[in-house]
Amino acid sequence: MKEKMTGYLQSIWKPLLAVFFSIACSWLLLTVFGYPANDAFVSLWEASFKNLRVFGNTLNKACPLLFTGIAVAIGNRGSVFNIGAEGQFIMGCAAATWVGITFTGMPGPLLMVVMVLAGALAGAAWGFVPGLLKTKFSISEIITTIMFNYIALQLVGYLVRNPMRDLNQAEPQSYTIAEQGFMPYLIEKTKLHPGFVVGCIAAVLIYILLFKTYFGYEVRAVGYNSTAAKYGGINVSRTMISTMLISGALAGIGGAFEVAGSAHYLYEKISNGYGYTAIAVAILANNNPIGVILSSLLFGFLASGSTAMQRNIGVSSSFADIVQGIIIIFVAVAAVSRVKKKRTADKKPVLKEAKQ
Amino acid sequence: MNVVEMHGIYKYFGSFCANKNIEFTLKQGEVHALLGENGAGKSTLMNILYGLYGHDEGHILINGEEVHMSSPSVAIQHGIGMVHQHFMLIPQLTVTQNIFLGMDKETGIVLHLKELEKRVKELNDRFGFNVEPQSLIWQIPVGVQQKVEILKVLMRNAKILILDEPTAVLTPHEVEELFTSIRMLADSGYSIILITHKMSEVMTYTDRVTVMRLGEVIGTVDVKDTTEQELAHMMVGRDVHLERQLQPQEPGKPLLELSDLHVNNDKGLPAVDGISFSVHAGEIVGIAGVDGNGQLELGEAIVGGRKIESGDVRLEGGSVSKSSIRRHLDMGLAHIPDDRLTKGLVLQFPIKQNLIMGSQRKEPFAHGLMSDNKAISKHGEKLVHDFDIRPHDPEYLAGGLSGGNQQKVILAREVSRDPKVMLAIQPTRGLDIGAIEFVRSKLVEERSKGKAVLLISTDLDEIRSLSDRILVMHGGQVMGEVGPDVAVDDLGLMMAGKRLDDMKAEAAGTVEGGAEG
Repeated sequence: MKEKMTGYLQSIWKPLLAVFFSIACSWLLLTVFGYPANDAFVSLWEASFKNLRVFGNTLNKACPLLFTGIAVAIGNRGSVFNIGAEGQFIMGCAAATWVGITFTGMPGPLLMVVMVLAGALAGAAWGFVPGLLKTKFSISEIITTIMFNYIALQLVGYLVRNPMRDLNQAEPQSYTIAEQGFMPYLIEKTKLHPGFVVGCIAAVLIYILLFKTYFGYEVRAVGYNSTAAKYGGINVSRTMISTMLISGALAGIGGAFEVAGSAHYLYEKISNGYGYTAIAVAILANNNPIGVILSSLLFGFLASGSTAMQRNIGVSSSFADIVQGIIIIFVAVAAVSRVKKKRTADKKPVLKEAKQ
Repeated sequence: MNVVEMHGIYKYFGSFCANKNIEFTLKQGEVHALLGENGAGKSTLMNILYGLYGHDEGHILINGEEVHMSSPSVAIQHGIGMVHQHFMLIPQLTVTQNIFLGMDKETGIVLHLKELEKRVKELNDRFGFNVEPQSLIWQIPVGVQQKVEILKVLMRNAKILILDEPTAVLTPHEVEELFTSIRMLADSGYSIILITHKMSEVMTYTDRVTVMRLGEVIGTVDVKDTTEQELAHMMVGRDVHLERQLQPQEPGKPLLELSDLHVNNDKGLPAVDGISFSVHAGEIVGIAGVDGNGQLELGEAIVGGRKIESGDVRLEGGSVSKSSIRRHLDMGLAHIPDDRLTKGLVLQFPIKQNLIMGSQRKEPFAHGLMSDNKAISKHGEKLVHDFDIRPHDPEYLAGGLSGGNQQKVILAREVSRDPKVMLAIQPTRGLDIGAIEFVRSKLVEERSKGKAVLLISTDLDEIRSLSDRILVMHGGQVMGEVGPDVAVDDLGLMMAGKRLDDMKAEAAGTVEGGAEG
């Protein structure tokens, strides 16, 4: 038990250090550019923690990152590098919207469930094709998932301009989904929808799936060494495709919650790059689904704080992107140092093996 | 006269002492073997002599004069040349061009290929290398490539040659040729250090031997005053038994049967070209052959990892030629792959998780979808002790283990599944003598338990000491089946592509011819 605790501590102190250093760097940057850094951080903080309302808002901002972050994390564990969480998320949004504006007669709870299921299916389908291309034709999923992001984006662009377009609105956007399908707000006076809570449950479930089941064993074995997995009797293709399906479904569910919980209609920029930020979220969490809860919170906190910073201090909201970038660099450094350390540790026995 | 003297050499890697107070001397004109297990410090010592590593303490004397070996170029200036285990030749260039590559400093920027070629020819004739200077590297056999490497070193005027495991990839015939040339070199005043862990080579071809263990020199002896047993004892620190230990045993029914098997290699060319044989319960069948003659593809096809073009593989009578690997494992096939690092283990997994690979879905390791970590740990704990996998910690990552212990993990896993057929491909490659002994004894144990064991190996000693029957493969075909008492020369001929039937016919022909004459 004690060993386990130190294990957890070890896995968490490096991301924490990275976050700490990036805050320090951001503080320096702000000062150098002549902004009152302390005030900026105070408004960043207050934007998330001043009261329940803003806190709920932060959780809502973290929600899409949480789902897409878990999606990327499980992919990374199984060595399918899902850069397509963005497209899968968007497809989830589109499918949920279609359900929401089509089945307007359905009772609310049922409609919500169907929307989430539709989102999961659409996301899974968007993950399935690249998975199939990878296993059948060895086409890199990194390329196909990116391509599929563009297809999803253009498809939504078409949907909100043509079949789904709400002509009462100036900007291209879809009809609003049936009102009984709006997710309820969990806490009074906040707009907190159930997405984040469901996301936390999903994170725990995926953690159990990855580390406590034989399926997770196979996913991780394929991720680390697919040849050894193959000779161990694991069906590598099937495992990779399953991983991709689960990953896509998670991102798609995230999209469904975004529509049913916050936006209530579909528009082109509904994703705001969540699927790409999710890669950083997953890496910061070392691809641990439970860690993703924390890292998605951090990124949600930055997102909601950045607007406040702009409003109060006049720092461009892009500054949040800079902070995110700095975090990613530090996390990457931490990850590389981990790999390097391992290599030097391995070096001696390897040398002996090879040379004598 | 001592051409090399190394006194009190210490070398540390961090806190690890790779060479400890080494005393080593090389006399002019001798073939001197440096014998030791993996990790004994042989290569470290030679890399120090060749200037690749600096040493922390001690001195090196070349021809009686102290030299500071700061880099290989200093070593080369003092007439030391090293031939590495892995050839460093460019396949698309000719022999002469390859030799020239290392000599740019000596020749300047103008190419004197003609003159160079003349010198290559001279050396060639003098030492019986039989290398054609004009031929392209990719067209010549590995044994000749080895000689090109030696020529490269000779052309740089080396008088002291260090050969790092030069026979690892050679056929018995090529080995003999190589040592004939080496002996000629020694007779004309060259001094040769041979890094090896093969006892039989030391006994047959060298003059003196220095044995190292755990970074220390255990002793230097004249080969004529010692025995293999004594050397093995010095190497390992205890008695080892690598000699044949098979109890006579009547084989049972066939458990693994191959009929007219055809398999392609990665390029889509035929690698296994119509092979049929069977392995019976309670016997070990050895497949000998030079690396790259289809043995690997044969092994992969038997386990289901490579597509079978035509023909059949049957396990206990049931055809598995179109089955998945999992089905093979479920039908009772155990598999020790040729490459433990890529095919055998997930290095990032702890030992215990590697030990259930293939059984992860079965009771008691899984109940439904959920894994049972307690059962996995218990299983790991047991096997780690039963097979003496060090460290005795099932949570230890497989990647941190030594080669021998990694192989033990695979062996433990495969044996514990209680298979019917055991397929072992190069099971002792790159292992210490102690680990080799362990792996071999386990294979023999499986035989006594009535399993059918198919051993594919390029190590002839291994094949001869373990097999009940030996099949020799060449060019994807079986050249013939012989018993373990077969003469090495005959094995060598078969490995080079001569059919046993032809050899018998020829032998009969000579006898007949003699009678008539």
